[in-house]
Amino acid sequence: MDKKKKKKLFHWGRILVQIVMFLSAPSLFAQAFAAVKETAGTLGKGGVLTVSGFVIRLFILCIITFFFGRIFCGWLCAFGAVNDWIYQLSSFLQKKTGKKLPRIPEKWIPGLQKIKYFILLFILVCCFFDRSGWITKNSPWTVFSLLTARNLKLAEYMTALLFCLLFVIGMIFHERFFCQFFCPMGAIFSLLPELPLTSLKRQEKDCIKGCSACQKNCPVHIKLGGNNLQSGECIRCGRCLTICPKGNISAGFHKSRL
Amino acid sequence: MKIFFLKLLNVVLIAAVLFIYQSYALSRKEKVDAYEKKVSEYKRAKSALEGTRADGTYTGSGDGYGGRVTIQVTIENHSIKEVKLLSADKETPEYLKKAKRLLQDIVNAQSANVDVVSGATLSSVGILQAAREALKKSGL
Repeated sequence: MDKKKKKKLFHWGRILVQIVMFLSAPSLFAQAFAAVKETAGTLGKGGVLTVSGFVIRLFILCIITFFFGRIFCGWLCAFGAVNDWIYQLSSFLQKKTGKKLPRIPEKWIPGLQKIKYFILLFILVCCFFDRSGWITKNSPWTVFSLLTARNLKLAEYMTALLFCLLFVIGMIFHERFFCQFFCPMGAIFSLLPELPLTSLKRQEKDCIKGCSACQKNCPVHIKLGGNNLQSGECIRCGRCLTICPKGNISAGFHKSRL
Repeated sequence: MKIFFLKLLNVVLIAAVLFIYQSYALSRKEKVDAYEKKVSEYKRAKSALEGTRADGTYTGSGDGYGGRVTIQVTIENHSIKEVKLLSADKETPEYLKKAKRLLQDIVNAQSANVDVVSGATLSSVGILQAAREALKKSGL
């Protein structure tokens, strides 16, 4: 198979996986995060920790992240897929109409990416003090879960709906807007240790001078520093693998290039 | 590599804290259970004395996560004896399993004014709504 075909297969393969996961497990991310909320709540009440179905889901996702990095975010998460699809549609329309939407300045991005840790902390504190109902009532994920269950009784969740709409607008302007800036589940994953099995590496000495196509196209703005592209932000989408004109980027132990 | 070990250390620390906490919580649980049982007995006796509920079975329904949730409340000797789930087909099984704890909570508290189960708020709200409706019917 030639390179171009391989790249196309990779691109559409990921979209296919995302569609399948969206249809089969649309609330997996919320269920795994429910384990976090539930644990914080139990700690707050002084109760006994239990291994519920949610905890098992969270555990499995953490193990996957430990071995393979955040492939859950990049390939399996339904909400991540929505982030991707909205932005893909938006950039398609921007190309068609020739109008460009304003972009978030590059220098703000590292700061914005830290917001998710504060959101995680805020949710943990709320759950600890037995306010998880309040989180559920205002969470955009609640709206998403209700919609994917085809439940349209959203009247009680107006603030949640408002948040959801704001995030959708953000997703139109910026790729992976929710995931990289606000997702509390992503915050947990990015704090986990990751084995370098699927980490991305770059043969920097072969790079075309001033190219940085990988950085420009990275949805989560990973800074390029030498050969190592390892970062807690990396969602293993593999865009840099397909975009590099020289095929300089490899996944895992140096060999498996696209 | 340094970052990897720092993160690993964090995870190990969190796991250790949870483990220590758990052994403490388990030893505390027995006392709490005994206390809660006493409270529940007291509450049941109290509502039997007050006699504001008519004996019989009553059904009620509420809006859960995916659809209607229907429950049945049995009143015996003027107090809530049993709360049973009749139907909740549209709820996600995992969440429903958690929310089912409320059935016993309602009996213990002798009222539907109990806290929702965190992590299963929407199914909880359905069950509590249904219980309130059923209990309203039982009121004399």
